[in-house]
Amino acid sequence: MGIKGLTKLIADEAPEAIKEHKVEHYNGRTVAVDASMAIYQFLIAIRHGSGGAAASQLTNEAGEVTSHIQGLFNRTIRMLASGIKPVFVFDGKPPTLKGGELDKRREKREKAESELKKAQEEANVEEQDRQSKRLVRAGKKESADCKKLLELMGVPWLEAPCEAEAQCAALAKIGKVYAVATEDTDTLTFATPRLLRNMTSAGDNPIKEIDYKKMLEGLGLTHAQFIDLCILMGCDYTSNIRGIGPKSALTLIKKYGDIEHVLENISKGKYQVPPEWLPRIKVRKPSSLPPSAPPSVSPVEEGDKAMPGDENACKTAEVDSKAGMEGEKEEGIKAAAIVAREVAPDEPAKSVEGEVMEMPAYVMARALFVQPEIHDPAELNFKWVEPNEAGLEAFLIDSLGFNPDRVKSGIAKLKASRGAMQQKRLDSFFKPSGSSSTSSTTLKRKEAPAAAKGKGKAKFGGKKK
Amino acid sequence: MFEARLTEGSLLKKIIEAIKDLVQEANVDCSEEGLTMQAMDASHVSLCSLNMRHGGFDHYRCDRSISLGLNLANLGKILKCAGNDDVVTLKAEDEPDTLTLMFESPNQERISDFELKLMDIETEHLGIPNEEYKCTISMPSGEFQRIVRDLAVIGETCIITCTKEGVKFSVSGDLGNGNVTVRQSSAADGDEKDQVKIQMEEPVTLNFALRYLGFFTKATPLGSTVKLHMSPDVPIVVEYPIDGIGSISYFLAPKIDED
Repeated sequence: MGIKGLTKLIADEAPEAIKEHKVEHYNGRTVAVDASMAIYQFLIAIRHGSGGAAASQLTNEAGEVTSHIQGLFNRTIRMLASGIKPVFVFDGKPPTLKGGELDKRREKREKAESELKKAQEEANVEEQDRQSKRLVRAGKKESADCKKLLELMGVPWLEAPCEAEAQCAALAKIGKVYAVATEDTDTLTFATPRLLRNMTSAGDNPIKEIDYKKMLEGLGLTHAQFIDLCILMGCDYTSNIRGIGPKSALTLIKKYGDIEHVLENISKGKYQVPPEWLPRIKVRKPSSLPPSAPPSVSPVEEGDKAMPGDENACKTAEVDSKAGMEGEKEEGIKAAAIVAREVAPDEPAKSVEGEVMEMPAYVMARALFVQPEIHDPAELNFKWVEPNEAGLEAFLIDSLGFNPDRVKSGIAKLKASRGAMQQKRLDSFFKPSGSSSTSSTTLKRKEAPAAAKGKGKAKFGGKKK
Repeated sequence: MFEARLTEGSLLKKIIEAIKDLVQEANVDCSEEGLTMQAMDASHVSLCSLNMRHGGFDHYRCDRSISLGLNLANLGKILKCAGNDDVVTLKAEDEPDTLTLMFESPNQERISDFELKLMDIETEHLGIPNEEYKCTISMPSGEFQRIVRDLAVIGETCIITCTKEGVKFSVSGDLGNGNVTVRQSSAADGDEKDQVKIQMEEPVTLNFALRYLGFFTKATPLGSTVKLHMSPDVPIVVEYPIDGIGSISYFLAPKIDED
């Protein structure tokens, strides 16, 4: 999930991009919440049972899991009570390239399942706990439950055509929302201006805000380079080169500019480049190619036409080892096509009759980050409406068996948070005129060696980044 | 080198008391003209602006403009060590890591000095336009404090309506509702300090969170008068003039009905 090790890399290399704020800081702001991520968090975190017994998810009388409902209900109320206006964005279909990642997750699940059985036989509570958390899945039913709850609460939601992170990022980029709340760092790869972590987590932890622009400055990269960095570090869409961690990925990208040049320059013996990262020649039935049009113009059609009648060709062609990958690649080309022209210098090779250069996996991953499948954010509008009190009670108390008192107090808070009026922020009236710490003295103090800072500014509780 | 001396040291105490509940950390900017401070609360709903002219100090020297990053609660703790009639002197280097506070008792028998560690604080500065307000109400600060305190018991939001006749503060809550109307004083009524004066171009009605107005009234000990400036759909200014030295002004964004 997300980009491996990105948070730490940012904390190390661009600490000024990360800021901590109290929840109140976001009073009056619209925030897009990655719903799938939030649901998953609730399913993991909200459990009961302690001491000797293995903790289990909350369930109602019928044994249906209700952790996510409980979590979403309480967290959403907390956000609204702090003056934040949330918009929940759900995942649509998984991107085709994610197939590999999803396969991996499935394998992990199966393993966890058998481990859980083993632990139950051995009555190892700790292990049961660990494995049962691994089994948690935010599936269709959970999403549907949550959508229903949001509807009743009067909170807007939408389903992204594909990945929720991409949709969230697009909303934030044009200013429809102020920030995106998720734990998933690949939201940054989609160039989200502000990423908020800890928004949906329990407790009073401060919210960590990652500023995209400051992060790029701190890392010394352009947006395109940052995407390449994320792919090198390991994203959801493709495997990465073994032996290259966050630090070396950053060094390599800084030195060579992009993945193509990194691949040219690293020692093939030392690093194992995954086979799908190498350009491959694929043989196709010549008939499936429109003879007149060069394939580079309409790779989309080409891919589509090739699909149905092309199974033999697929079998005879150089094929990926994994079943199903073939089809995914085909579709991936669609997305990749747009950027392919700029990034693949050997494009002309495609027009060789009957042969098609297949896009390396990283190019397709890049395309997914640059041109994700999203709803046009400009056309989306959100409305927060009065909660449906009777509906909420029927859903939560009657059908899910929640404690009526808690539900009622929740509804009361919900109504109070809406109130008749919206508290405005001062900065919606007065424009910022720069920050006051930019005076020369403070800058000097900031540059002062850490040792001096330690002795000078710790005692009176004034620790500040 | 920065040095500022106030014979009436308790003034500084009162100022910090008036700010520290609203704002925990702030940069105080010292320049030739005097001291200024602008800081917002955590929710960015209100802003506090302090202005102390150099002429108001008994001695004032500032060779180079500096910015002092202060934890106000901690400054308050140190100021508690000063006697109410002590003379207070503030000192800092040109590139300070600490602020020195010196307290001298009136008869010079007791002299104490404290150093407060400074912090790096990054705050957003808001540019506040110098605009004319449609209504300016001047009233006894104690009266305003009492109204805010009374209404806060009943509800969270206060409707302030200013007309020619007077200013009406209204609140409604679960237990009921209430109104307090303050009328313009006629010129004959005694002391000028106790008078309510209204200057108005057009009537204004705005909604405000009583919680924040309550924070503002912590400045009541600083002066006998408070001025409320209002225009439609913009933040209210609650200004406490401080005799002879400057003022402390609070800005609060209104609550607006969006539906």
